[in-house]
Amino acid sequence: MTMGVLLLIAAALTLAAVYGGRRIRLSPRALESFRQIPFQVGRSLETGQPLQFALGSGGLLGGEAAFTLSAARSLERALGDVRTGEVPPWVAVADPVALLYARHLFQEAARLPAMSSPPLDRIEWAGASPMAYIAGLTLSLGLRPVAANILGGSFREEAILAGEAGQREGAVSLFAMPDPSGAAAMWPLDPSLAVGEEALTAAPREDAPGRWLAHDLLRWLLIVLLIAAALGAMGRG
Amino acid sequence: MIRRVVFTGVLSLAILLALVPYLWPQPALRQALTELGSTLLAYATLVAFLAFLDAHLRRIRLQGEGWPYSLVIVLSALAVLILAAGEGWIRGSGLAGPWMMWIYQYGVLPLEASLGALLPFFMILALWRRLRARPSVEALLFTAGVLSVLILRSGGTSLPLLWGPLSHAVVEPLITGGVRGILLGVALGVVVMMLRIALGLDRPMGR
Amino acid sequence: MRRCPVCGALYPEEAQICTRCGADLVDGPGEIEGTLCAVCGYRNPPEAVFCEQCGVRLKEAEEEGEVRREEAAGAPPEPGMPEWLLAVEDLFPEAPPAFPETVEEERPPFGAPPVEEAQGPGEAPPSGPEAPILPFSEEMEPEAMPPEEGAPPGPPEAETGMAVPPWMPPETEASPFPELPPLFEVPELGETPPVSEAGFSGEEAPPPETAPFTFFPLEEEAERPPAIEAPSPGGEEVEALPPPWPEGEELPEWWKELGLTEAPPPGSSEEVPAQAPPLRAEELPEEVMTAPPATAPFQLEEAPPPPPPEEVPPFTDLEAVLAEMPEWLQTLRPVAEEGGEAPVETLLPLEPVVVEEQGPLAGLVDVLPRHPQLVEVQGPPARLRAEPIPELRTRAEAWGSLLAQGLTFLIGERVAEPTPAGLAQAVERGLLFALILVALILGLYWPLPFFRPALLTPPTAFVAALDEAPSGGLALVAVEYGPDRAAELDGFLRGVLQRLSDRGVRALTVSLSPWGAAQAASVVLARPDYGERVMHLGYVPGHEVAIARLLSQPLRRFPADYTGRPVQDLPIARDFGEEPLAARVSLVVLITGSPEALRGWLQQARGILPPEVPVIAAVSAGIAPYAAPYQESGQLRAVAAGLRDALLLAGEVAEGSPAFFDLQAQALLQMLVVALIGVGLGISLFAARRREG
Repeated sequence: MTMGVLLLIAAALTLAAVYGGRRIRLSPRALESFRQIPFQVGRSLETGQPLQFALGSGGLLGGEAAFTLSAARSLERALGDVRTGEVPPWVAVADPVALLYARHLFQEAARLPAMSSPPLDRIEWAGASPMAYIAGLTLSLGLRPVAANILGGSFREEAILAGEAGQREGAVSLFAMPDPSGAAAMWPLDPSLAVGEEALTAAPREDAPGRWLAHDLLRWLLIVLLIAAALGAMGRG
Repeated sequence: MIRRVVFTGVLSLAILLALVPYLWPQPALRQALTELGSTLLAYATLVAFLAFLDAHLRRIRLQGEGWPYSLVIVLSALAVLILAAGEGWIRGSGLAGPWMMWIYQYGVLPLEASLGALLPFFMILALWRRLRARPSVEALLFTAGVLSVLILRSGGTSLPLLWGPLSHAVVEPLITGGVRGILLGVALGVVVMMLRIALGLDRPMGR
Repeated sequence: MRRCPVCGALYPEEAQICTRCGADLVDGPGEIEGTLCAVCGYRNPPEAVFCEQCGVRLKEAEEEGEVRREEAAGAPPEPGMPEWLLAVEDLFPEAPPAFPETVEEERPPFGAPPVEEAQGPGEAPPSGPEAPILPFSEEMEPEAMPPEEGAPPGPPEAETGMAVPPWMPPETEASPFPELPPLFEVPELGETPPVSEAGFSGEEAPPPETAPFTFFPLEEEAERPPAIEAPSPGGEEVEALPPPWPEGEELPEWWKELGLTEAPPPGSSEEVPAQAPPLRAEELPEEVMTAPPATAPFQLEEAPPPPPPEEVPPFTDLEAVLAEMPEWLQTLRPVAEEGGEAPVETLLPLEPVVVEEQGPLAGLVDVLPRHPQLVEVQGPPARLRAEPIPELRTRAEAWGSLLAQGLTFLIGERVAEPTPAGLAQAVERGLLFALILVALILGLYWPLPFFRPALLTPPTAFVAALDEAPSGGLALVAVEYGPDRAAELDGFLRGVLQRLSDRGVRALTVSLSPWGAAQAASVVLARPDYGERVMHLGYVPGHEVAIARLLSQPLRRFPADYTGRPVQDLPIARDFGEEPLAARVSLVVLITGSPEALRGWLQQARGILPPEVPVIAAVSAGIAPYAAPYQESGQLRAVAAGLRDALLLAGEVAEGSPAFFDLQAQALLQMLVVALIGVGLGISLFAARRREG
């Protein structure tokens, strides 16, 4: 029941953030990892090498659905760039539902004039288990040169194999991992990677207002609850 | 337009239905949704497997980059599928039969374990390169944390005696607190994302 | 179609007024006064000296019939025409078109596509009313004028032709166009193939706008001599050439300008040649001046093929020609042949390859020679009039520093750039890997003196919870890891099963994932007491929902184990009744490397299990922080994490045992990492200090 009440409060705060985001002029915030996406699209065009998106080993039916969706946002943003049609990116997934979703994103992007027919063969199921997925991703990076290696979604420590392979092949690496274990493994490769909450803030091309404001409001709610719980524990103790 | 509205509506309904048990416990609803999800997963697995075969067969046919790897992948996938189906036909349990156990024990297990064995090498290499680079505050903090953990955890030597219980009281709470903070942030981000999808503010199915 | 009697434009029959000149097409213009401009066809007033439309001198145009090929038919010279172009035009003044009396046909209207030129002898000229008006007389052979002796060879028997501009009206008045000396190209260009300067083929007529070049229609291959061969100034050519000027005529002014003294031969309407030669009259051979008019018609299919030239007399007065030639044209001069003999079917000798030896272009060939004026320092270096302002200097320095950083300032400073590839990096990687491998092997096979496993703390709380399970009771062991965590967590599974079995506790293993089920089967099915003390239920689908279903299911309803054997047939199920599993289980052990599985099991199991049933977890070291909150809240009774706790599960580690060496290897690797961290930091700090210094 408590959980339900908290969810209702969270929903109300999210709606308030949307409403407030339209009214209040907020300064845009963008994480470095996601801000680089358009740069990397341009770099991909200049070098003629595609981008490599890895959506993680999670799927869309489990607890990691939000991680995969967030990683897919980066892909959606890159595909929304008309220039991507000239050099379509590669997408590696580990979950079959994520594969279907990636195909859907490509078909949506095919409405752009630059990408007349969706290159669905650019989506590959790299492996089922996390380790097999990383092995498949490492193999792909070794077979073809990519301009940038963008890892988002659910990754664990073995992601360092793919990150290292990408860097060795001369690709710029962008990491956005909610899970701390994966982020900890990738930190030596890129200290500025997006971790935790940051990794879930990827925005699509047409961003709706209030995204960041909702995060801030809920964060303040959590802080208030934690302080209240700590005070309560101190009072009891 | 109508199609998008329907998709968005169905998605929001599914998310709200999944959240209903938190307000009104309904194990049957949750079970039904989970079974529906399992069915969808099975269908998606079949589609993904066919797409996977198609991609690799095309690469073999066109002799694209890495086509020998694709050949091995296709042959091994088909072999496992045929063996599992055959064992299920014969013994009634495709995954539990001796053939599958043999493939798992002598194929999957050594391969994944070998790949996992590479992790410490690359992790240490990446750490070495990062520390040799320009020193920054982050590197120093990271170093302090790693040293503390390693020294505390490296049992069997006299090093932990130098730190004493004070380290246990200071270092471990910092580490745990940091991880918890990250996890709280993850939970926050997940909640915001799913609520925005449920309320129709974000449309992952497209505009 | 009818023609305007004044300007010659074509109109349909029903037209009544000429829109160009205003003449009445029906009744006729009546008496036409005025002077018709030979260039643009404009009917000027009788007293006009210059054409009111195009500006050409009417007297010259009328008397001499000089037609200048302008850029646009009838257009006056553009005021913006560059001087060099005018100078080129001066070199190649176009000869006036001939107006043969035989040409009575209607001319194509103004603006019509230009008529085709005369073709080779074997080709039929266009016939019909659109027949071109050609300047050559029938008697003339369209030969190039043979150059004077000593002069470089002229063009081979290129048949010169020139299309009369279609807008030219039929010449009703006698226009004694003087016969100009026949055409020949610039002598220096004589060695070029017999292609017109404009490069036109014989099939295409040059547009009249492209003045003032001569058009030499290509001959047929069979009749064309080799390209390098110079035409022979044979007598046939000389004979074929028309006399320059008809006798008895007053010399035209342009002729006088050329310095020609003899009168031009009597000409007919079939006139000559398109160009006036750049040579002076005294330079022309006498044969040219006195040659009889050519008898061959310009209809080249009737003209005999010109004989190939046999020798080319050298051109002696080169300097005179060069004096009048613009400099740009002089650069087109071919290399003079030694001996004065024309090469016969030979390629030009290759010049020796000159390789630049100094400077930034060293190693390149065909580098233009340095001009001495550019090489020599003419004076002191230029000095800045003023020092740059500090702002500019600052900007320049900032820009320089940005460039020195490479591309990071473009793509953002905080992006993981690719690691540089090279031998140094490969050696560094190899050495580091070798160091790790040595430490691992050393730790696994060599007992080190500083390692004392007695200092290690075993997971006492975890072991105590295992020991609390009643003998004969039922323990549920959830195996939620795959092959990637097997090395770390298999020890927990073996140790837990062994400890439970030793105390008589029955264990049921289950997994929510196929990987876990297969991993558990590899350990459980190999136990000798399988079926009596241990049973593997296998994979239960449904994720967290399956936990509730499993715990709520009556024991008797379990169908079969992982191998397919009915559960009721196994001794372990001797007392399985209708009570649910949650009521019979006395201990739940979670062995997992995934925080999601840990969370799911705890959330579901804690809601169904009685509070007194302990749940303990054996997790991989990486997710120990995830388990800590549950332990602190009491949902987890005890937690064991990592390989060390797994190895110590059985108690103290004997020296020399496999567990001993595993622990030693782990400790040695951790110490290696600590050392590498220290060395790496030291190197980076030292390098930073050197950079600043």
